[in-house]
Amino acid sequence: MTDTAAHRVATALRHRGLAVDAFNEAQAQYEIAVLDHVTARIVEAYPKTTHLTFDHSTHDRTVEPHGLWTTHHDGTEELVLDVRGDADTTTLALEELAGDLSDALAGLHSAAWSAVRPDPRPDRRRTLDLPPADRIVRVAELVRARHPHAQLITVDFADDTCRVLDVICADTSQADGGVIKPIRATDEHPLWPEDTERRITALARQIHALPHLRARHLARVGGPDEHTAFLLLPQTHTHGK
Amino acid sequence: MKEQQLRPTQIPLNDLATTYVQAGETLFLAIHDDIAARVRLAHPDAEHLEVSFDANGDVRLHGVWSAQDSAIGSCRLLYAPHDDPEQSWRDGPLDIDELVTDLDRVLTGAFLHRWGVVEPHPVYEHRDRRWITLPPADRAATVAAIVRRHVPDAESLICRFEATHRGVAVGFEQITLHCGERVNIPCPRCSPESDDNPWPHDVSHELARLLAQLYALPHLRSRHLTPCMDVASEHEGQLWQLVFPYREPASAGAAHH
Repeated sequence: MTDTAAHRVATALRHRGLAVDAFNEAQAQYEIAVLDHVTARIVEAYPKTTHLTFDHSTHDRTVEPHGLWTTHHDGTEELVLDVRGDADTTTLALEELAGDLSDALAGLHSAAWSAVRPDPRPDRRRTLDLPPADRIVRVAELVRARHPHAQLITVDFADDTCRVLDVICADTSQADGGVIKPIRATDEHPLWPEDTERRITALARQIHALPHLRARHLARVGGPDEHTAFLLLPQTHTHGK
Repeated sequence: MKEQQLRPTQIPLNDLATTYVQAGETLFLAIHDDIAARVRLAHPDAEHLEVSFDANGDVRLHGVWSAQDSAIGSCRLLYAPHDDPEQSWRDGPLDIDELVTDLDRVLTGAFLHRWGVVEPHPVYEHRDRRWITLPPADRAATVAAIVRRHVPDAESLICRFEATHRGVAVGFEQITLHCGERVNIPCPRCSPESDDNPWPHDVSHELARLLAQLYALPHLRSRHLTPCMDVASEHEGQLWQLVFPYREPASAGAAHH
């Protein structure tokens, strides 16, 4: 093995790249796990909570929870708990909650920001959607709302972002239903509205960050330099009836 | 219903936090290695970097230094930066801007200080500056050389590692000798009064830093450290063996003199 200075530079650079990947993965996993932990505690105390609003200080990047909300079937929201008004600290350790959320959202590009809606509310507060109990079921609902026969979607995880490349549907015009038909996302014909894309990719990123979910739901496709993966949608029992 | 809603994380958060911290430490070490490799490509004798922080906390490079030169009794200045763009040919293959960006990144955290590679400047007038030591080109060979300075017959070192929130702790367990004998190293916690230590205390620290780095960098761990077993050990945890490069036993003949 040649052990010249140039060779050492190349080796060091390669191992640096691997260390960066390992660090990003460990960070994302930690942040999403904290998000799940926070969610579990909130849902335990207030089972109907679907999202929470918080003040975010850009100065020291701390999170100050403001209210817990629930969404009704007709789309209206209702305040479950005003964190500052109702000083009900017995059911939920709010200090700890704020600390954990600050932890999860510490990085500007942290994976947990995927759960935060991009547009602030009129009062400049941010909204964080608590991850659903079963993320893949929610993804399937969102996808099938537009493409009822969708079987799987292809997602691209290159450079910290995530986007859906195509939806693969069972072709029901054929008698046996076994033919698959991909629908590609293009600029002229997006697969679904922008907000749906955001919600699907947020959940896909979170699934990607947690190894136990990634192993169950994602199948990598493409070469070693590609970051595309199939996200397999679970079968629904009502399908086809 | 409730069980389905409570979605506990698969691995305890503390373990994930430790993994995260360690991945950060490994990353900083890897960047440190990368810095060292690039500096040495331009200045093969480079051993230290002299840096300071300006009012904004940004890093400034003051010099690249060699190791202590026994002939002149101090370090040689290999490169000093300059502000003159006309003189940039003097930088050679070293991209100073890139180097400073990387230094900025690794010096913001406490990681490198923990690894013992960042110290205050040895000269008193420059106490506000930092003195960065570049890693040895071959850490395993350096460990072997240090151990053999104290135990000439040593063939391998067996130790244990414990990853904590504050870096990697190293416990020395045994040295195996050329003749097949094993020398137990007394544990400083279990028997603090023991005077059977094969080397002085500060050598333990020096070795522990290098061994912790070998353990923390995955490619070095897989190349140099072998997991091993010892049922007789008083401590829990995985033991790792570092086999030293082979060399002719020197003391076999020397013992007869």
